[in-house]
Amino acid sequence: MYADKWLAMGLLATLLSGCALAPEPVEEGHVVSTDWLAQSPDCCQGLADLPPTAMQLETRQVLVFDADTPVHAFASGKSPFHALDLPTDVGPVQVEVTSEVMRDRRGSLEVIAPTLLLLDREGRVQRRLDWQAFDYRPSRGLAPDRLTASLGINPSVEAARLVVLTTSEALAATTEVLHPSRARAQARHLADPALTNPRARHVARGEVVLRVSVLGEQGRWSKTRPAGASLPPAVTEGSALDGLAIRRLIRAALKADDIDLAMALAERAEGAGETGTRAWLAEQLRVR
Amino acid sequence: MKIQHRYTFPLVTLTAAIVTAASGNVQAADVDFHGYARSGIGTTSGGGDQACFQAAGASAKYRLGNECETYAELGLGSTLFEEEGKSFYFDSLVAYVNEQANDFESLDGDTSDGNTIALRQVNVQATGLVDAAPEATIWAGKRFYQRHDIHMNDFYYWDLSGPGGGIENIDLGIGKLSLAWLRNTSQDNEFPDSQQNLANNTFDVRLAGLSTNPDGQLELGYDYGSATLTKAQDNAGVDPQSGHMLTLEHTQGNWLGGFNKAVVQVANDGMIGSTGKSNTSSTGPQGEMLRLIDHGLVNLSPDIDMLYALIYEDRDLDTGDGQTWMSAGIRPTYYWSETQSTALELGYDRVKPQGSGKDTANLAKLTIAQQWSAGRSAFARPVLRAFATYAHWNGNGYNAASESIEDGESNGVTLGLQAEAWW
Repeated sequence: MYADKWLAMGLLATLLSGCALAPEPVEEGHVVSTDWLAQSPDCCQGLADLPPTAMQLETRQVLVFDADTPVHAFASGKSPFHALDLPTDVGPVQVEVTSEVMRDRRGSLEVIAPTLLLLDREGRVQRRLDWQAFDYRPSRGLAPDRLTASLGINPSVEAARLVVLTTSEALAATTEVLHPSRARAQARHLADPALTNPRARHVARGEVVLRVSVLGEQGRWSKTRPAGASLPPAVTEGSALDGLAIRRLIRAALKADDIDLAMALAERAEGAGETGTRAWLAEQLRVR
Repeated sequence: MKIQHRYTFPLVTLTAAIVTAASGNVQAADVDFHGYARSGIGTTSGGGDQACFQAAGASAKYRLGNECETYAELGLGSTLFEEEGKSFYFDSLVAYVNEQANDFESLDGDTSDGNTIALRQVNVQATGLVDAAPEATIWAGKRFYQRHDIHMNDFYYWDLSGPGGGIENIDLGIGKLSLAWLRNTSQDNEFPDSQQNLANNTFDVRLAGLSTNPDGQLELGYDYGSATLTKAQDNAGVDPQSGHMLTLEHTQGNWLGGFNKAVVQVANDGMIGSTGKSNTSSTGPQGEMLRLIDHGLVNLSPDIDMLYALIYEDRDLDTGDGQTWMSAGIRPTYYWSETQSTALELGYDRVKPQGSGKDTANLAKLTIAQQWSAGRSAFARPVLRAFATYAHWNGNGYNAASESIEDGESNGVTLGLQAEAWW
């Protein structure tokens, strides 16, 4: 009898407290303090002066954003950055950029929302991939919540360096993260829980992971090549192009779903005298 | 957002091809493979296969280190058509159960041996077809329908799944309205022909997403259960019992790093049951039911979380065969790393019959489990476990063990290994 009463009282107390407690909500758009960023010295006069780092191929390259990372006042705001020289002797590459959602010491969610700049040899911006173009991928197994983007690049005079940074606009924003209970509900066909997805603050410190693979006929990953096999020639300004080789590269780009790269390769091939490459690409796209 | 690009492509053919490739016209796209599975092996101290412990009359048992079967749900789904905001999604799911006693366990449909297969989902869900409510989804077929459960003891307290149809998530501004008609069929001894089915219907109305307080939402539901008789059934004098059920559920998010759900359910007659599916047969319950539930998940520290559940259910039946079921359980888990954790589960169930002269059944269960999982979370799956379970009950009243423990015994210990996954 007493157990009944204690259990009923405990249940009633919990029921009432569940409704009464109003924990402090996380403010949307909460801006993380960037005083340290404003006080950091600008490393460089301009984009052409950004100190370069070697880009590693076929491996996981971690770009650390911390107190030792150089800072530059970009047009989009002051930001720590990594400027990576693109390899010039391997042909087109596929670059996957991943920024994982982390927890700070208080358990709050935070993530770097990267922006990518593709610079030519003179340091001029040729291509830009803003943080809004990154896809959010929910946590799955050991892979945490993350922002990810993939782009194909044909290293050349006009595509010489990749800069990874963040922007003032990104730092003022947040990313909605799938609540773990919602992920379970989707997997188990349960009612969608009446829970607000948490938001990860955008910060300028953390880690961004790069995976760069050489595009080849076999697909996105060219981790193994037969000994002695020659690599596809780099498509550079004025270089002699082999029509068969360029079409191999275009097929590899299409297989990686990088239509932009395929179009760029076709345009360059046409400009180098390989007439009909555009029409051939159009036919490849039509039958996809 | 499109990548800004310097290059221009004057060829009209090429441009048209790009536009076609980039259009939203998708037919027969990727297949979703989703499901759930658990399996393992265990033994009972003293000999024999693993026993599982449940209090007599309780609708659920605390499940950590206390599941004795292999159960799997394998589902395939796909968006069959999607264009201009309209989409059709096909979903299917087959469930498999066996006793995990042997290698070759035939799923021949004979449920008496614990090995069976069941078709649980075949439905189509279409969104964007109602001009007045383009966000709403209309559906028909067999379906897991907006189920509400407590994970710790696998108790589905609001679950009307089955064949049906309806429209869900009509945005009213203050909340989302869903309407459904579902079916569960039963038999009735009063039928002149024992092969005849009693077509029990449940009509479900629910309004979800009502904001009540910061990070808090309320869901209201009403279920009406009744049956439609054939002429022969009507002539036989069958009198199906209709019933009503009301459900109120408050969900509090941002609750000590997790969530809390407080539930109140009241029901009568044919709607008295574990899930809300109606039972209008002549052997169905008549009376009233009150059910109070509170369950959730909290983060006690960066390395410790805890599932918890409290249940009070009072079935007051006109026949005096009702009962009061009380249940309490906690599952704190300590995370050693992203993949290793140790979980402790303590559960207590007490079922007191309504009538006098009948024994109350009580059961306490304690399990410790070492776990290896893909991620750090109470809901991280897949997970592999090594567990040890101790249970104690009033053995002079009943036997809480499913096997391997003799009548009259009042406690048992089991050991085992289990894998669980959902995706």
